[in-house]
Amino acid sequence: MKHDSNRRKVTAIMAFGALACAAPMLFVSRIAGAAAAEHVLTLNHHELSEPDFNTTVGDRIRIVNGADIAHSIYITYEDGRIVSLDTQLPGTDKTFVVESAGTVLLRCWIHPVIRQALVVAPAK
Amino acid sequence: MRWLWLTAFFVCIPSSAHRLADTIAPMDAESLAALKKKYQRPEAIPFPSDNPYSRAKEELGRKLFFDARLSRAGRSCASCHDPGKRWSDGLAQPVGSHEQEFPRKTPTLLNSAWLSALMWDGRADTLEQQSVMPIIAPHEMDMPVVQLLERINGLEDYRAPVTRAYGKVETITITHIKQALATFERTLVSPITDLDRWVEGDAGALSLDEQRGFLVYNGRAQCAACHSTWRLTDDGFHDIGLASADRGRAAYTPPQVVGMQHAFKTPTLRELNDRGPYMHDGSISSLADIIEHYENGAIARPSLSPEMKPFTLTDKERSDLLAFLRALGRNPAPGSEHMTKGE
Repeated sequence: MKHDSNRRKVTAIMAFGALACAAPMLFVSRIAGAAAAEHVLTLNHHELSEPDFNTTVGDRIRIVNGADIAHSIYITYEDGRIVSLDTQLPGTDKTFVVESAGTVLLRCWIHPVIRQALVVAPAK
Repeated sequence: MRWLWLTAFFVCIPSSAHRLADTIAPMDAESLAALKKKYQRPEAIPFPSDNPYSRAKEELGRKLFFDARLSRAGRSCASCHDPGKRWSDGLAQPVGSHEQEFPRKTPTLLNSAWLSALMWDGRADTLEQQSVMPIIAPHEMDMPVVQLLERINGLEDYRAPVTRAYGKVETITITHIKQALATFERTLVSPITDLDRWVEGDAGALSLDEQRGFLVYNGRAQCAACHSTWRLTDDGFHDIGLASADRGRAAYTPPQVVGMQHAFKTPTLRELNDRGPYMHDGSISSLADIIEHYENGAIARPSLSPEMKPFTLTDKERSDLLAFLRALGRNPAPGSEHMTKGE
């Protein structure tokens, strides 16, 4: 009888512990879920659409090639880091996650006339 | 009565066939108008806000452009960019300051105001940046910046034009030279030709063969995938599968950007002549050979442009395309290269 009582106590303590651990994780995951938005920019021949959204570090940017020619977008961060998305054929998507805050420049290796800037806010 | 109908039917056949032969293609008028609109000339030359146009700067730039005193090799910008040769030199391989041959052709300066990257490999972003590169290059005009400034500041005939352009200045700087040269070069614009007249509505400016060639250019041959806009270029960088060992744009891009290996800037096709040589390395000597290269001559390699899709033209399509290409520089209107200067 006493043995059963101890087992219930241990189980209750473990359940409480699990809840105590999980609650902050759920909270954090809700924040992260809210912050990591996805935005879309569209390539139309020799233009990349203007961003009509606010961007935060961690957001995903999807580039849709709506043109009938290939493009090759690369991202330049303020510290000079360059991320290339490789050749993007017509009708395909490429996605990247914004890594740092500041003005991020998007250009095309193939068509230098294509340029678009994103102003990225720091992660909350 | 039956005979009457049959007679009418056979009488109508030749006239219908004739009308079909006089149309250029399976394209409705609205689609053709939309396509032609993509080739319309702009109304004004764009100038950057940090180097706006002024007549005095243009005049100073013109003087600098033709002045061989700015070179240790007795050359001026015009030695390679000859106004009589469409602001190029007409050579397959230009000759340098010490008689050495260059691996790349001299590009025309026409329509430079619209360029978004300069030089065959795009290593200059602006005309201001590019304008003094050939002056200081040892194999071109061979004049280091320090000596250039020393010499020009010692030339009395530059005092007045510099003052007109910039006001009273203590010394002429490299920025003055860059801005004036770039301003002058921006004023060099292609004249109006028969293509422009046809685009603007003169139906007879291009022959029917040439008009069909225009559709082949935009259709099956896919020339317009890169040779687009009124300047007939996308200012883009593409590997078109030539045998040259020159890596072009790759010298200025990260090695993992495979598509820039052997990639060179798309040249304008305006004022295209019928004599060649063609391509960045002057390796093709006739327009017919160029069409053949695009049909089946490109070297297949990882960097080959995705726009280099294989195609086969009929003999008629090939001759129509050739006719269109040969018409591109035809009947330049004297004085029409003077375009409004401003945004």
